[in-house]
Amino acid sequence: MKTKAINWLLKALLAGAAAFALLCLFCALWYKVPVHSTNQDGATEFKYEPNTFYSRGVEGFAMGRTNSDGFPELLDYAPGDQVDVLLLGSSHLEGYSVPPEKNAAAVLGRLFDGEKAVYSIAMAGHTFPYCAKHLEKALEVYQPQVAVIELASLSYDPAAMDAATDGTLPDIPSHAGGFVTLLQKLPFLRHMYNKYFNRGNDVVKAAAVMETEVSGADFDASLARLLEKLGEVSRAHGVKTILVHVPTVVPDAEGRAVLEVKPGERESFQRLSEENGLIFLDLTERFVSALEDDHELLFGFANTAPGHGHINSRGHELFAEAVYGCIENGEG
Amino acid sequence: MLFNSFTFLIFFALVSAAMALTNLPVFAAMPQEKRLRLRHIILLLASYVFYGWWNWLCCFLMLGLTLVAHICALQMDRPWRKAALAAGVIVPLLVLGVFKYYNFFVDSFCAVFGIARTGTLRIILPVGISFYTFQSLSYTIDVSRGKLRAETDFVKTALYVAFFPQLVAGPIVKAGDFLPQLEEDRNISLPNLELGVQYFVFGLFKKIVIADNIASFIDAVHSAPAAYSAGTLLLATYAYFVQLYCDFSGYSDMAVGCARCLGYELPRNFDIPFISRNVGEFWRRWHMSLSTWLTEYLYFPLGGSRRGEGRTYLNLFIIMTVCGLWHGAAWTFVLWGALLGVAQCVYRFAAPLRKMLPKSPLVTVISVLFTYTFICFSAVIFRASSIGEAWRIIVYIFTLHEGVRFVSFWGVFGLITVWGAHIAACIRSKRLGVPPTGYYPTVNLNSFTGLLIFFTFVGLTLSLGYTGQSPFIYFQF
Repeated sequence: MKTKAINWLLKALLAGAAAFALLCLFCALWYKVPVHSTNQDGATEFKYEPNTFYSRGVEGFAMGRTNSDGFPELLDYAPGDQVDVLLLGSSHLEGYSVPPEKNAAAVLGRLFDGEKAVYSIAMAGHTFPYCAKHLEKALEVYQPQVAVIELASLSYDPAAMDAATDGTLPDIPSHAGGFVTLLQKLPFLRHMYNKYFNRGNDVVKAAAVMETEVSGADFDASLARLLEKLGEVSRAHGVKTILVHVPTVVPDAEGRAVLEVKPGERESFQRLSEENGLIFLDLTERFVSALEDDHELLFGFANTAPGHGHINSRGHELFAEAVYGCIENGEG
Repeated sequence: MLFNSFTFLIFFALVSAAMALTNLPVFAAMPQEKRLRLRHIILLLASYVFYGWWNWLCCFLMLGLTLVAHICALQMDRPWRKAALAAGVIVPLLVLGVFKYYNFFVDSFCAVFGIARTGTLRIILPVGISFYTFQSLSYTIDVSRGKLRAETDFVKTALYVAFFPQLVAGPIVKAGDFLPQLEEDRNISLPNLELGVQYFVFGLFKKIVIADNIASFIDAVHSAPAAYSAGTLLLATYAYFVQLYCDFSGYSDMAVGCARCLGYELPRNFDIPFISRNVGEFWRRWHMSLSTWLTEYLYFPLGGSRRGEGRTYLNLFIIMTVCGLWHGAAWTFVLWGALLGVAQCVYRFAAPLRKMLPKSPLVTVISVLFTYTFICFSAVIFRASSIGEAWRIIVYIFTLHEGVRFVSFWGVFGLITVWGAHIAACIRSKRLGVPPTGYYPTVNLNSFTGLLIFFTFVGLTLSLGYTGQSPFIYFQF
């Protein structure tokens, strides 16, 4: 009886190990996210392991390789390489659910047809306050002519905006080093951890705390201070900074576009951007038209809910076209 | 607590551990009757904890209904048996009527007569009330018919009504199938765990991988049907039925699995319904415990098919409409049930025409596809929040409405997987020389290969499973 139990236990352990290996192989194609560590040059909160394979099948289907700089970018980068247009933003612009050749940076690069070098350092969790926090360092490191910052939302907590202005915005921690890094390199384990034990992970929390129910004088005052700082930084580096609003547009029961923007926010961003020499590129009309006229959903993927989640490849294309038009022809 | 939650995992582990303890020598030395009673009390307490997790007040409701059923059943050999039977039937139906249908009928009455909405009650619908009410009814009626002796032990009656694996979403178990099991020395054992865990994981896969992933697509489409193209709406129509099947049958499999782990056997509730050749066969394969209940306790008492063709059609129409109403207090459910009733009548009426059709595989395939399409389109009414919304979707499909073209990966995956499983079951049945019937694809957990397959399947289920809010559809019934 005891021997039988021990035999079974051994079989179970071996089978478990073999199953774990198979599942890691599966997750290597389904969900493999490189380990991220604190970005020492300060251009972003963190970046990924360089030259590392990644895959996403949980939202969209995409595979690629991080570049030599640790970003999910088609182009490699070495210090001193020319960057004309620098993209900053969150997971929307990072485009990890979109094949790398279809993300906004790649499309924009093709639109410029070699005339301008486009480089994206967009990373998950880097909402507008975080992009603002790192803008100065990013401009120092990459020295672009144009900086493009993606704004997936306009509802930012005044306290967060003030913290970004004052340089007191808390860091997004990276858990890299030693045994923890080794565990993160096992795709199945990482997938299970993110899925079931870390739903409120640091990156998501950082993004979520930004978006609160705010409006009115407090919002305008904090936004004004932040945009004033961005304007100063941009002028100091001789950079044209474009803030691109990527609105969430979902259809209502009648198929008409419904926006999730609060009254007055777009106007505040427009006015205060102009006052500080920044360009506010609002994609609302384009996104609404895409839904109502062209019947296109710019958010969501075949394996998620239509119209929800991150922007898809068509959304990236529209983003790139709008930014190209703004840079080349002053359209907006 | 949901079956697909860590809370339930912990709960079930604790219940299983408590049950397993009764196998220890100190309890083995007890007289069997006492040992069984101990197990029944453990399961009964666990069942009330399970139910009370939602809302502890509902436990009193269930206890009250159980008392009514128990007391009424004990009166069946007394001179006042007719009054006891009446009480045993009316009280549960009254409770169900008040909690589930009162507001619906008041609102409908006001709407018809143009009266301002008034007199409605602010009450919550207790989870699973439709299921355990029907169980208590069937117990009382079966005792009155002499099919079953009245149970004198209240613990056993209470456990039959409240047994947590099937409490909130079925299957509806007949007392004659469950109470005898309580007389037997049943408990957790390795063979039971081997099968029970596999049934549970099979059901979990259907629920969190197929049903829940399709749900996000269906919910988006139904919230904005005008935005989507005819093709997308058609895919949603076919995929919704896969979602419904995997959600409900998945839950049923998990219930059967839990019960099996504990040593008890619950009936299967589905038998590869997609291969049905007509609506009648569909209802013999879909939610079998409900269709059996309605046949025995409504269709037959109404006369069944013994009182002429006209009365047969009426009876079919009545039970299907009641079936629709059982699912929910809304005109969409009533219409859905009525539509299926009409379909059954038409099928019966067309019997002479059907006899003229050649018996060939092609005719069978066409019948199956036609029945499946009809069921899917009728499910649009089931799913919709109003008859208008359902009609709109159907019109959009047939008028090739322009809109967003969205091909849901999980919708297609679900269709292929479920149909593939149905076809595999049919091939297996043919090889065994039996009528087409489903089966649980289990492996031998004593072999390395079996363990490898099982662990990999569990891992895949957890990897692919949806982790958002995903209540079981049939909880609302």
